[in-house]
Amino acid sequence: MSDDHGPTPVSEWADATAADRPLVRVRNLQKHFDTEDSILDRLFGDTTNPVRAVDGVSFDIREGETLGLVGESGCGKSTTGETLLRLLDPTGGTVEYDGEDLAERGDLFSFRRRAGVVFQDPFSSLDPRMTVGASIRQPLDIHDWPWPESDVDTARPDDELRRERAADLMERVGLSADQLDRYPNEFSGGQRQRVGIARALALDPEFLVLDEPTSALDVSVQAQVLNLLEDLQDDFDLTYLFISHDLSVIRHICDRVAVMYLGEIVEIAPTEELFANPQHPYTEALLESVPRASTDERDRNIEPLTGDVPSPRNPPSGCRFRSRCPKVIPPADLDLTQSQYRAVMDVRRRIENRDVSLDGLEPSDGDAVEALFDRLLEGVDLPTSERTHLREAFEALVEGDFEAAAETLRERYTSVCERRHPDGERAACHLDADDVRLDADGNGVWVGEELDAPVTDTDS
Amino acid sequence: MSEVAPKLRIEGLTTRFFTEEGQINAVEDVSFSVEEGEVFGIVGESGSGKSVTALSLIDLVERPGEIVDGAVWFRSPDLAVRIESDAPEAVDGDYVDLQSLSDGERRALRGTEFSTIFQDPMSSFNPSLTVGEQIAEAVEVQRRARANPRSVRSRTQGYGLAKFVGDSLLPTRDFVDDASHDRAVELLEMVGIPDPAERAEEYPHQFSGGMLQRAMIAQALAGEPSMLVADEPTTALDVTIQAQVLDLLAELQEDVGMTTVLITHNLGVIARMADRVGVMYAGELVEKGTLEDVFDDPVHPYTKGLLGSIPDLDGTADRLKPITGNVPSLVDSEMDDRCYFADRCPRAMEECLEKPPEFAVDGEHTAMCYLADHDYEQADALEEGYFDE
Amino acid sequence: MISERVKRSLRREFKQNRLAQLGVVLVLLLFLVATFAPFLALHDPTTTRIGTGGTEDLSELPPLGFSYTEQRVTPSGSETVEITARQTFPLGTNALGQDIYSRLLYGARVSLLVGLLGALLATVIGVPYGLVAGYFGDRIDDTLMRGADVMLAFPSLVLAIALVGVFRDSDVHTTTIPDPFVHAARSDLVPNVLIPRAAHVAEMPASFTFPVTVTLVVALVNWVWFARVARGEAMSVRAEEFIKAARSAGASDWRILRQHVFPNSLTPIIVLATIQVAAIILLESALSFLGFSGTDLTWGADIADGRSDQRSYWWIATMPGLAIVFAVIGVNLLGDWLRDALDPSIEGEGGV
Repeated sequence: MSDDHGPTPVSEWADATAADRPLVRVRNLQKHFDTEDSILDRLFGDTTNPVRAVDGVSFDIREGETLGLVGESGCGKSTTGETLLRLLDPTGGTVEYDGEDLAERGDLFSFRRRAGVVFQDPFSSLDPRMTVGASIRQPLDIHDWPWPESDVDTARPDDELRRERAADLMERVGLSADQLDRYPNEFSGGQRQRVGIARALALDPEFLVLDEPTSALDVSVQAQVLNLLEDLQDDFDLTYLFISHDLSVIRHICDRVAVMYLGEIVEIAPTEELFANPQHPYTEALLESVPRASTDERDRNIEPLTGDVPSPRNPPSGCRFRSRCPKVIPPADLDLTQSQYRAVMDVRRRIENRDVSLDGLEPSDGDAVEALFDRLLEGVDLPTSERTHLREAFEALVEGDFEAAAETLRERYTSVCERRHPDGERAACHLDADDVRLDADGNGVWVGEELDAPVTDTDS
Repeated sequence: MSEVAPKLRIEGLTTRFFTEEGQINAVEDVSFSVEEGEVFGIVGESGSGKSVTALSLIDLVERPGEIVDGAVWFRSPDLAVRIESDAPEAVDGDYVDLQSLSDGERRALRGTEFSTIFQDPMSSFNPSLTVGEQIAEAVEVQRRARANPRSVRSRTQGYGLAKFVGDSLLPTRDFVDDASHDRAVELLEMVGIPDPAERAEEYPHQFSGGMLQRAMIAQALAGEPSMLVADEPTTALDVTIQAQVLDLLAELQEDVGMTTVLITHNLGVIARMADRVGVMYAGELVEKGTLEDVFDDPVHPYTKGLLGSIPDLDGTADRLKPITGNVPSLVDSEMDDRCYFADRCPRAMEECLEKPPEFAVDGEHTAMCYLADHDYEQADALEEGYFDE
Repeated sequence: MISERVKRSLRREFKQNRLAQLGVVLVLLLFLVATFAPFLALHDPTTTRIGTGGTEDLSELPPLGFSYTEQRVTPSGSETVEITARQTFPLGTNALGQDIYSRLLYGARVSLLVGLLGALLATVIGVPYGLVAGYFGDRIDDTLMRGADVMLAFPSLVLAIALVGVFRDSDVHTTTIPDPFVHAARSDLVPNVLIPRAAHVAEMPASFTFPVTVTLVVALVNWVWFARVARGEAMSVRAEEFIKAARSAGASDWRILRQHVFPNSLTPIIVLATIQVAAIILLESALSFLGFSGTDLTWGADIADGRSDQRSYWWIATMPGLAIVFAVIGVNLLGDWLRDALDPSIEGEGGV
């Protein structure tokens, strides 16, 4: 269904060489969830709109690097991590690990030795009925370690060797080996998280997916764990996929960062580059929104994003961020500033969603249209030429004809952002496109061919 | 220092929990004041006692917790006059000690004089009533409370058998009148909810997280309180939504001049919103002062440690300087009478084995640390490993 | 398997709760009585005394303190006879002159055994069923639980009648379990000095009849409750992160079920099992009352016997009735104790 879209992964850049083969190659990965389907629905092949949690993401992870995956809740980052590891079956796309397509691999059992996971919730990631030693040992038992190639004295009984390894791992993560036989409830959140890390390292993996490993921890403990993760990466030559919603943590620990929104990657760049010079409006908005712990913070003026995240069952057409993007690209020849255009698009969206109350407005009422202007575009000062067009739409609206009103607005105000899915080398945004002319403020105008107004809109 | 007397004066607030595992000293001798119209931020990690402090302020501490000591002086001349005749010991000039009021009187104040917003908006709303109904009810209740403080009843109070039978037999009567409903819609608009009239008819589950948090703010404002207590109001929200809600709070606070006590673990939120800050650790207020005092010139090693352990969004990827060790247990039998931070402090000295008093650093900037009094003496340092078992 | 915390909770709850103490006492009593029936009984419960062959007619004797007079018709006309209670029959005798007290003790064996074995069988069937349904979810869950619902729709009595009809004449309807104490007393293997009241014990029945079909019925009626609870637990455990962690390490579903899901689901199952024993005892009594058990040395059967004489010889039905009541109350209180002590809210992190 989806064409290749989103930022182009590094190994496909024009200047990529064979030696750039990454450890992990993800192409167009998709994961959709069908919820609320009863037996009968499934029998008859009638499924309701699936939740498109991950809808076509592509990226590389090079050996030894830490790739960050950042986004807000519902963007699909955790699902991406789980699907990548095949803890969930993908709906589409491929994952290649060390050159091998995981889907073609007969069994994933040996793959599991090479890739580990650390989870978010320290209170749920350890079985409360098992001692921490038993939890750390579990992967060893499952894979019947030690193996012939393991660097241990195979004359000794397995049980002893495994226990020793568990003790060793405890020490590595900064805990005392005497605590091997204690239960999770005797440890603090930070300590439990360390146990989780020890468990993930049990089989000496090359690759770790860290799914919000410090989000549930206090700030001071988080710092301890982050330092630990950095040290372990150096000591054991690990490659990390670091998933988080916390930008400051991402900046601190990641080499490259991918920003996700509503199931897609919108920008991917080396960390410093991304933070110093974000290319995608969502990245900008995200960076802007984070409050800094500094006395200058109060004076920092921010324009928060409007609206809520759309439903992943019904993502907006074209660029998914367009329903909230402050830089959504207007067609040429409009007499509107960028923020005015955004306001008009917001009105258009509300009309299309029938999210407008017509209470107290009579069609015969001469003031009705003016009242609509007040209600919907309060504080927005529009030039007369545009007001005329809006008036036409509002007149239909007062009659209760939402469809006609929406149609009128679509005719004039359609944006390229809703018609075409953006892609680019670094950021998935039309502002980069050739047919978009940028002004001094970085806002764009579409100067390419005329766009057909969409017949229906899958906005929410 | 403002010329106007502070809106809130907390003196020696102490809250304990009497559980089967022993006595837990959640809040220990906390004192601070909040000026009229300012935002006082209380920051701390888990186990610091900040949430219990918030609950204690508005007296929502439940068994086995109990406020065992301290006074919460709240400035309200009208209230003082009203209460004076019945409870003269609870009044001091224009101030009323919330602690010495009866349950009924305190209940009357909640929603009218001061209001709260919590972290999880979902649990603050009844899922079976529309949002509009609930906000209108809040409006209604406060109206009655202002008219007659003694007879405050909510929908569930005074709900006996007779009322139940009545409600079941008679056709549904709206609990609230039109005036209250209109005010509810007004409030929804004030908090930036688009199309408030429509949204008022919707149920909580139809609202997104950010919207519901706004609705909760609307509900908190229904009683036109003069003080707001916000306990982690944006912790559960995504960062872009958080920005929206903080913006809203800042705007409202400015427009109305609302005195606000803001509790959070997020130093960025504090930096954005607070005028003055109190840092809590192990149930005590270890440092307090203006935002500049605490962020730019921290004295207490915990405050320094906290600031040093945050990864900097705008800065370089230096190695973080975490605070070693873990948060102490608050169980009474396990606590010594020493500085509670000493076992994790890089600058612990011999004298720290005796609990430090609150020293003034500079003006209103105070810290519970000997380092506020004199410089660090290497010679007096506690030996390493002193606190190891 | 039992953690320190659990032991502490149990002890604490026990100390504080009078009812829990009562429950434990009653259940212990039940166990003792059932196990040591031959020692504690005063007579062989099966011995009849209806006055044949020149022996005394000791039928329908009242319990101690309830001696009565009645009109009897004799060849010489009606006369007033005084029927006195006898010390050796403290709870009276039934229509066949059998000692009620002794019958109660032996009846406890059947009730207890059926209760325990029935509950055990129901657990063994229901728990794995429910765990599998809850863990795998989706289609497997749908199918399995529909099956369970069908099972639930069967009224226990209908099932009982059907199964009894099938098995009544077969060898498996009941089975005879020998009494080790009686055998020991009768033989020379164990010196009689070690057995208190050896001579008396030797006179007791050498075996007792255990109703197999009834046990099967109660298990079949009950297992669905276990399946439901197990399913619920499995579903909530399934969502925990440590399950994901185990899968990411390569653990098979079977291993996860065995190592993680099952142990974490135990608590409510244990509580349920205890409470179900009480329900099963009641059900067994009902089935015995209706004559389905194939043995009449049960409380239910004794009630059936005494039914017609309710007004005048009330003790014949009432005594076994009381026995059932106490047994059921005792087991329920025990179950409550376990539930209160093992309640998850105590196990979790207490938040301050």
